[in-house]
Amino acid sequence: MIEIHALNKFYALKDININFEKAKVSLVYGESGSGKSTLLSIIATITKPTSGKIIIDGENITAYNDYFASSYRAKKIGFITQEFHLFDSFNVKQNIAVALTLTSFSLKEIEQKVQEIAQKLHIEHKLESQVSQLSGGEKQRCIIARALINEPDIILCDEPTANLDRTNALRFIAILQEMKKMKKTILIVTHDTIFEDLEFIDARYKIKDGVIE
Amino acid sequence: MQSKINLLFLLISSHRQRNIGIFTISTLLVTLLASVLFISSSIQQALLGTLNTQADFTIQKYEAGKLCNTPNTWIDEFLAFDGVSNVQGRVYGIHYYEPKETYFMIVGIDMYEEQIVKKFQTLMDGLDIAKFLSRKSMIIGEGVKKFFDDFAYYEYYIFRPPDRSKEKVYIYDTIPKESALISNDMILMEISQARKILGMKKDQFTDIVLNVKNKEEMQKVEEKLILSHFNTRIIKKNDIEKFYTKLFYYKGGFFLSLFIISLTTFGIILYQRYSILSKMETKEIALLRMMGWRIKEIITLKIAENFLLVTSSYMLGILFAYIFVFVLDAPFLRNIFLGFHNLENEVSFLFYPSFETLGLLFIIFVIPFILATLIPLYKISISDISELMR
Repeated sequence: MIEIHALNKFYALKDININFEKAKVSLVYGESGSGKSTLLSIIATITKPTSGKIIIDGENITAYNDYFASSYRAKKIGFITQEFHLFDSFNVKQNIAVALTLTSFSLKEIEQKVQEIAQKLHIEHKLESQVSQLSGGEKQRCIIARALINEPDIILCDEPTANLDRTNALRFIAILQEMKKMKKTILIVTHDTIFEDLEFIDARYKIKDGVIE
Repeated sequence: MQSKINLLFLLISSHRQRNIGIFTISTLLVTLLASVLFISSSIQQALLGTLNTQADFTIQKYEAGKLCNTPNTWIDEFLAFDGVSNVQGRVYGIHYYEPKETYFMIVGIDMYEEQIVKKFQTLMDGLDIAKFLSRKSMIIGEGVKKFFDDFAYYEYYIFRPPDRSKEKVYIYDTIPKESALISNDMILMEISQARKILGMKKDQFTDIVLNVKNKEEMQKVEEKLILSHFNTRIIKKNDIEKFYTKLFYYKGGFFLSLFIISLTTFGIILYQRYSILSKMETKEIALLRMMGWRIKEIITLKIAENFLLVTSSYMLGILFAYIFVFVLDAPFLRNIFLGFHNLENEVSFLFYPSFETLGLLFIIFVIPFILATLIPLYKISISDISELMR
């Protein structure tokens, strides 16, 4: 479970108190600038809060220094971003494999894992392609593959469909459903209405001007 | 570890445009710097080697401000001084080579002095003295040979002594190129032959050299030498060192290298300072941090990337410099150091491996390079990742 207690961030979040259930899909929606991405960044330990704490598996992750925060990100977090944050000069295989460089897997094992995840996400035919040769949907799947390859417990999705057309957005939702079956804790922040009536989402929270309503 | 190394090479390859630029510039600069150091070190060693063989004092005779020949009676006179040893007369002089309007240095060798002959044989790799003396012969420097060859004096050259006679002297051999720094314009011949060509009497020397057994007595011997004759010029060993230093100015090479190093380092620091902040690298660092890389690990990775780059360019630069100086004899650059004392010096630089110099160059070149990488990198690495991702 992700427990958020009295979380504040200057100009972005005001006294957030919320719990995200383990192995559930939670949705935080709101307008642009409402603070939802900041909330996700703090959970991912890539932004420090002004005050408050976040408890995950009994540990206050907001108190982590770089050593523990990095370790937490490497082992527990899969981050799917709204921008296509990929290594532009790498090919798809290298972009996915880079997430395993901190592990003790051999190159052969990494190759095998990349093949497996690529097959699951239907991008195995694009593994040797450069990022510039991919469509928006393929780039998104590449990011998802990278986020999932080290089997994290928590999947954080920041506006995951913002740069996708409707068909690709629906394909992404299908992937999320698959991830839910894998008992992942999924947190989506979005302002996309496509998520409004989806049944697999377990909890919905509206955020406005940095406050959960 | 393997995957980290893989990533390192991937990053090097992905920044190839920038890396090729840095690599090429660095290699060229190291080549230049190392060439300067190799040349100055080679000259320095050659000069020091020559200086070691020089006598403590050289005594010349002056008359009315004009240098003139020294009588052989002075030898016995100086030998009588306490603490003096190895008093020897030398015969040498300038010969004007008309076809090329240049000067050669004729040096007479006393073939009946055992020690001199031994030194001579060492220089000429086991010279057969009997064969050399069987006819009028000479051994010439590389520069002299080149000028003789230009006018087809392959076998002999006819000198014109002041008495207007003709002295046909056969070319026996060439002085090894390794000692060309000193012997480039030299013609070595038997002492009486040299006297004849230079128009000197049999009982005359150009100057007299002597050593002092106890170095503490140098000043005392110098005073005796000054008092012995009013018309002497006494040249000490360190005077010769100063002359050589002026002649080849190897220290100038050292300062030139320091200047280039400073300039280069500054250039690289600036280049790195700005190139590291490229949007692409900032994004890469942010991505790595997002995936759980620690600041320390990212800095290590980036240091490794730059270290590999700069070390390989350093090694290639050293190799190029070695080829440039010791295989190709440093075309263009050698004239800066050697100048044109008389003949254009056809030297062959000898490699004196100075690991201290190479180490110093490595430190001066690599450390600022890495440091220049570190400062902006650290700034980026400690920034808020979400800010970097934007």
